[in-house]
Amino acid sequence: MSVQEIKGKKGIQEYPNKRHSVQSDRFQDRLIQNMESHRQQDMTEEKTGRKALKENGMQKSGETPAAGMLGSRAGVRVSAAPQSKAVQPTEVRHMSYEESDNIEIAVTEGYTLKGKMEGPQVYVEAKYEDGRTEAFHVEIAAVSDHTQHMIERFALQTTQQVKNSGQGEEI
Amino acid sequence: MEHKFEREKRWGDLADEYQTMLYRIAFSNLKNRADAEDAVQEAFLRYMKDEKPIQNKEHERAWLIRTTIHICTDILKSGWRRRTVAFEEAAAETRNVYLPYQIKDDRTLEAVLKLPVHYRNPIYLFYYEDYSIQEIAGVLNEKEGTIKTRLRRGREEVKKILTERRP
Repeated sequence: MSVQEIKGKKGIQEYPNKRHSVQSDRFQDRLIQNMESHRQQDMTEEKTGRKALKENGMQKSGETPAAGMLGSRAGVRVSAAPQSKAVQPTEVRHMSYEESDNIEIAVTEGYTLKGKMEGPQVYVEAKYEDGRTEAFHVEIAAVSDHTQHMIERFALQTTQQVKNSGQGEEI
Repeated sequence: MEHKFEREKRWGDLADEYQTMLYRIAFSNLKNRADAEDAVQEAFLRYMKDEKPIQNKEHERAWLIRTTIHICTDILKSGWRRRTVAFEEAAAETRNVYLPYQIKDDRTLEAVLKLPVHYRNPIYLFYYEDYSIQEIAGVLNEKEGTIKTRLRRGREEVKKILTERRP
């Protein structure tokens, strides 16, 4: 087809898959709807406290929520150890309840915590409903008394527990 | 592997090691002290009589737990079962006498004891006896995925029970 022939026609035939303006509008509508639903979901999470659980301890430590976050859509995967100077990951020993100085059983949250004092540190083992197990060493001297960090808070409880009863364990 | 005669020789050690744990599991199912004690004794007797060799400690423990749960199920089905105690009483007894740690708030334990058996046993073993999902799957003869699902659904049921009870 030559240039002349094209000029002779009333108009160029449109590419069949070309997006019409109506389609683009629909796409934009859907995008706006999706954004709105995400915003509503965020608001609901804030109301139910789930968002706070997601960002557990991180903002208090001055870190971004994304760091070390494990997700909590099911309400189970509590972010056990977002990066914190006092909390360092370590090898899981599979410590028993009998060996532990402090235990926290959170059936409704889907996890258990076990803690044991080891000199200036507390060894903390976390077990989750989805089968994961994590362990951490918490440097007590580096933990604030008013911490909201789940592992730091539990480590403090453990030291208190040991001070109070010597060998008591409490859930 | 161990022969049944060798098992009989170390009867005392077996009882020391597993008795309280098996009792707690039986009690969480039966909610009656006498029936729970009967179930544990029956489990030990079956273990002594069992001809099949036991491969290792984990196998032995899993065998005993599984058998205890089966016996509990049989007792629950039978007509001669004794009177059960209230859930609150059951939780208090489990808490005060037999757990190797203290529970501050036993409302959750009460709720767990109210669960249907297919949720109760995985949840009880996972949270209160500190078993892994893999171990529970072995004990209950189920897939790990099934246990994870039951833990998740059981947790939702516990939440419901606790919410319903709230004044």
